[in-house]
Amino acid sequence: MSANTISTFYTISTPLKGDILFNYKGVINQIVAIEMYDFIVRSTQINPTVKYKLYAIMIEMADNMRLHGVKNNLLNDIEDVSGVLAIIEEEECFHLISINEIEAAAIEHFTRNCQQINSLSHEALRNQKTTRLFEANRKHEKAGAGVGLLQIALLSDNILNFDYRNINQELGVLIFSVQISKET
Amino acid sequence: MKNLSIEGTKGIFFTPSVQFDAQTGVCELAGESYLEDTVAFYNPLLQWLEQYTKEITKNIVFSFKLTYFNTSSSKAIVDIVKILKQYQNEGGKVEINWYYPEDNYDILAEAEDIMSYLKIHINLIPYELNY
Repeated sequence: MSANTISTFYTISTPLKGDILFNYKGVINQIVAIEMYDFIVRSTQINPTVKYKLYAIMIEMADNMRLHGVKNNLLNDIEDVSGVLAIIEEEECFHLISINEIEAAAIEHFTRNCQQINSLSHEALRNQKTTRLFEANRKHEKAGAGVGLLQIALLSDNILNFDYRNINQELGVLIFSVQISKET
Repeated sequence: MKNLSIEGTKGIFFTPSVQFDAQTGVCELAGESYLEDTVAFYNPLLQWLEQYTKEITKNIVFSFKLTYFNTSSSKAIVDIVKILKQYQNEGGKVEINWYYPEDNYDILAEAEDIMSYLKIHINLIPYELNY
């Protein structure tokens, strides 16, 4: 990772405003996802319905980062994605945030996908997710169901927010977030 | 044909518990499903069901009692229901129960969407989950 990359990465991710319920910066792997899940499950002040949405979305976010992020963190000889996962609490809602590097070539597809999802009603999102799940071929797709963003939009019942900052011609930083109402 | 029994685990992965009984046709998938390799875990379950529907051909009562599953697991769940639907279409007797925490409409919606897409009946059964 170049100095410019590091600088951009950390400048964007800090400071976080609001009450920080959870903030993690580092390698994103299954262990981190499970730790995050346990932390949310143990948070007794959150009602069970919202709690379910929080950990289900955070796990989808972590899985998306692992599947689509740039693998640049070499820990124990395993290449992994590094990034930021955070939950910010406000009076009436939670903000769930992920930040990671992606290839510049992938941003156009990601943008189109998010815009298409944001244009759909809740019912249409359910239909599209179900159709994709049923049309997936179990024998040929090893990782992911291709419905992670749809699931995040459904669970949050809100639009997908994203921003992209160029690092260089090949790489950029993706800042992705959704909001969950406490009144859910 | 042997029973399929897998104990659920909760460590680095969340493995659901599996109890498939070849004598009675009573099958249950319960707990949490979040795995590093979903395909490797679910393929033996799918193969067991395919073998049962071809060789045993008795009734199946399949109960889902999952409290959490990620979208990768959703795909496997859909594959299970596809096999059950196919068996039903061929004349097999199938009953599917979908247990969901009474306050969790997201898990309920997953079953509703499967029912709607496949035109298959699923018994939707709420229960109280102690958090």
